[in-house]
Amino acid sequence: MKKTKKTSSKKPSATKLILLPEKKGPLVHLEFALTNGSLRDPAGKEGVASLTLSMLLRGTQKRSSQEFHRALDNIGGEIHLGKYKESQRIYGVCLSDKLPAFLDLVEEMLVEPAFREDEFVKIRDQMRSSLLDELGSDDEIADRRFQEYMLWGNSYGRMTSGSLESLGNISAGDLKTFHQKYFRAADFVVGASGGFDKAKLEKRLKALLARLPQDSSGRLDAEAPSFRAGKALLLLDKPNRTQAQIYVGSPGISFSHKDYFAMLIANHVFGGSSFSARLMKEVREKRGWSYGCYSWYRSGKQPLYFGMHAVPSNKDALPALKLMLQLFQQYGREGVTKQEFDFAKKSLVSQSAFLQDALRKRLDHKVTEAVLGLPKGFYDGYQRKLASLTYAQVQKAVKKHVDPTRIFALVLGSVDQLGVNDQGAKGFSKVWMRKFDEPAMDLSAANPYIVAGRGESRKAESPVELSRIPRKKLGH
Amino acid sequence: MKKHWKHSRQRFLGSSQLDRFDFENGLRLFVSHNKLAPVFSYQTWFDVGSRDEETGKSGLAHLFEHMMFKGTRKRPQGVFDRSMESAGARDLNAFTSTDYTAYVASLPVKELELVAELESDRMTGLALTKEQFESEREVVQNERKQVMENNPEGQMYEELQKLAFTAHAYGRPVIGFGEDLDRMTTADCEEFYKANYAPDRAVICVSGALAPDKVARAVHKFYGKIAPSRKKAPAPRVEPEQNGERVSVLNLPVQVEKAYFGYRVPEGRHPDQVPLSVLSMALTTGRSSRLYRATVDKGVCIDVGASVNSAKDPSLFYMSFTCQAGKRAEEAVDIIDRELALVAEKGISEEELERVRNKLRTEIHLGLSTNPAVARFVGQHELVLGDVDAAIEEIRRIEKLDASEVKRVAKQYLRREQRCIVIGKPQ
Repeated sequence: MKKTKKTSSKKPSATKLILLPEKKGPLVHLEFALTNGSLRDPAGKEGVASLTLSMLLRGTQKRSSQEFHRALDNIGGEIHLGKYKESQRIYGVCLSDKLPAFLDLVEEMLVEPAFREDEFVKIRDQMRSSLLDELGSDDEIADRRFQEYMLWGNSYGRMTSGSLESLGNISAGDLKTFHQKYFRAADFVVGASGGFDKAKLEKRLKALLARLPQDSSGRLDAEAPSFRAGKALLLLDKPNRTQAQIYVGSPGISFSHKDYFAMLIANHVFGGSSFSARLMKEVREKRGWSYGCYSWYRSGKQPLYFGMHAVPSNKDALPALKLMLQLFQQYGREGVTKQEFDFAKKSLVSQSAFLQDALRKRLDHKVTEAVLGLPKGFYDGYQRKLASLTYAQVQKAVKKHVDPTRIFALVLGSVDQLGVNDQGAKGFSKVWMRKFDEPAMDLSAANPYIVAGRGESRKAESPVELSRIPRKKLGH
Repeated sequence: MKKHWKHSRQRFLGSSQLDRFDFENGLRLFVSHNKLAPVFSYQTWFDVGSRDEETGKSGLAHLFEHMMFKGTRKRPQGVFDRSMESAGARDLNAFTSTDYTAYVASLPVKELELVAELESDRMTGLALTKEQFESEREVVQNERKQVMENNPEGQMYEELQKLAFTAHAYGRPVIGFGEDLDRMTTADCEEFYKANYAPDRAVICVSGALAPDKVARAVHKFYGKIAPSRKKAPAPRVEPEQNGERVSVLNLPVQVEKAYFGYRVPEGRHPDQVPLSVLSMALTTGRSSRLYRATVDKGVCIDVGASVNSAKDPSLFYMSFTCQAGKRAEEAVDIIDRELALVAEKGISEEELERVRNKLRTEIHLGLSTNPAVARFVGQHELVLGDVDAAIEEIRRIEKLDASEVKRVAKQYLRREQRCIVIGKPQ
């Protein structure tokens, strides 16, 4: 794998605390966000960060796993774990009057995890079984494979939950090492909202965090994924499906890019969560081809990718893919109309009110701002930023960021039912076929898939560009 | 000035209040007022679901729900969505269940009249075309393929309902059978619409930064002249008693074994629903719960869950699990049977009961912390239980519940002879 990380030197700094008290709030929500996510997983040991987080709920120096959960459940508290590439989060909620007891438990799990071998074996086996279970869900496995293949070679293509292969390489010692190395006070952003006394909670949280190493593990900048020129299609064969999962990817945009908000408006027109969006109107409303058809930006510190998704019947799968690509091409070429721009801007500006309709949401936004290093007030200024955009700015951003010449498409389904032939694969510079349950691999090293006239298929001897070579030249 | 509604105010959860307005045409309106942000949730709940469908017409209630987003006599297709979205509507959606159908949206407060006008228009003014119907039926067939045919858990759930209900409409999937959908016509939709979409079959639930009187005036302005249907849905068929365990094993494209259980339990209004809810929480809520410790902690399952369905008619106490790789579902079923026998014989401890109460307190505050959730709580319980007060009373009863009640319902209902199990095994 090519080198994708740069790590700067360790710098001590204070934990960021964000406290939003609410008078007489019946609950307290806590969020401990660690800026070290699965991007920190050692190569070949993908899943370490995720397993480390899970182990925090598997017993402490003072209590066994069962004793810990009994104490937590007895006070009605809940702890959920968020496992991401750029951060890991511990979300807690408890009744306001149980906050002191709840914080004692959170302190134990964060500062004194036991990392017992027997508990490690349990969660590793569970995680393996969960990965196998995922193979039964077309949507989940298609989404996973889409990211794995499309982002192959980039750190963001390594999955947070690891793989069946990588989990086998991890030991309990790896988790202990990860905890010692990366659970550092200066790498935490801690937030709370709800019914608490601000001064008291601040003091308590500071005492808790004082028990962790105070410095930072250093900044990590992963490289942005790159997309090769051309249109590539991966067929993932899964037998006996009556429907196909279509995922299409293209270059994305980061949260901090100056055009981020302009592209939010543009995507609302193209395929955002709107029944008036082009993808929804053309694929679902006019043709009835898919229950849903959407597009979105997966963004983080880096521009990750732009994605499209639809789930048509076998007979409509390739026509739907073709239509989605045509619409994307037209969008890249012409942008959006002034009328569409006005509609999308008005919708999104009005919807911004919902970013602030719960204290818990405000807390989550502030924590996310701090974790991703977004400008302070990124979410508070959402409405203003959208409202200030002009049609010309959005059109300019579309021209710059929509790139229909760099496409990675994945279709998961029963390949023999999809009618893959010359016509179906036309327009793609490369086509591959793999089985859905085979581990992902570097497709540039794989043989492309040859599509014969009647839909039969066989492996090619050497890379070819299907759309430019007449069918008769593909044979031996 | 003549008032066109009867108004009452009742205590809701915590210190909040719920205003109820009963209009002359039978329409019910509930308003929960809070000032957290200048937004509100507006939900229209209709007293019709798949329970009310005739044999051979399965899926009609749900397919019709999709058709409600098409044009009306006043507004062509697309205007509803564009008007709502342009006004900043969030979560613009609808859902259909066995017992109800609901249309939901959240908006900035200044858009109250807009949503009331648009929703009242489509309550009686829908204009269906054959072309729209056929395109939407294709969408629903695709939805069915996505959530049922190509989804192992969807297939298992469909099989469980079929196994558990041989006569009652609960045995048919809400989304319908593919062949029934194929036979459906625009005329079926029109007939269904006339019979079921009227103010006396609807409940409007509003939660947000709006004064209750203001909402009542807007609702009267737009719905006041709509005539009631005065039609009652026919009584559903009664499900015969079950006298013996029913088991089905499906070979599915899965890598790990799974199971869905259903034990026959009474309807939502029955007093035993409260101890059954506590029992389901004691069994699977939290990692210290009985079944989590016995199955997940022991390395047999990766998840386990239980919940009691609160429906208009007798329904099911559901349980489900997913096995760890290499483990057999039968092993997990045996463990669960042993645990259930233990609860039926010895009951649950006071510590477990207090744990459930604390969990429930947290979940109630958590579950009702948003406007859509409050509106949903009110709409669902008003229709399923026939009275939202009954749901609030159920929550109060849990605080006073005796542990012996939990033991009694475990013994009475979680019996093998009134259970159905569907096991999914790798092909």
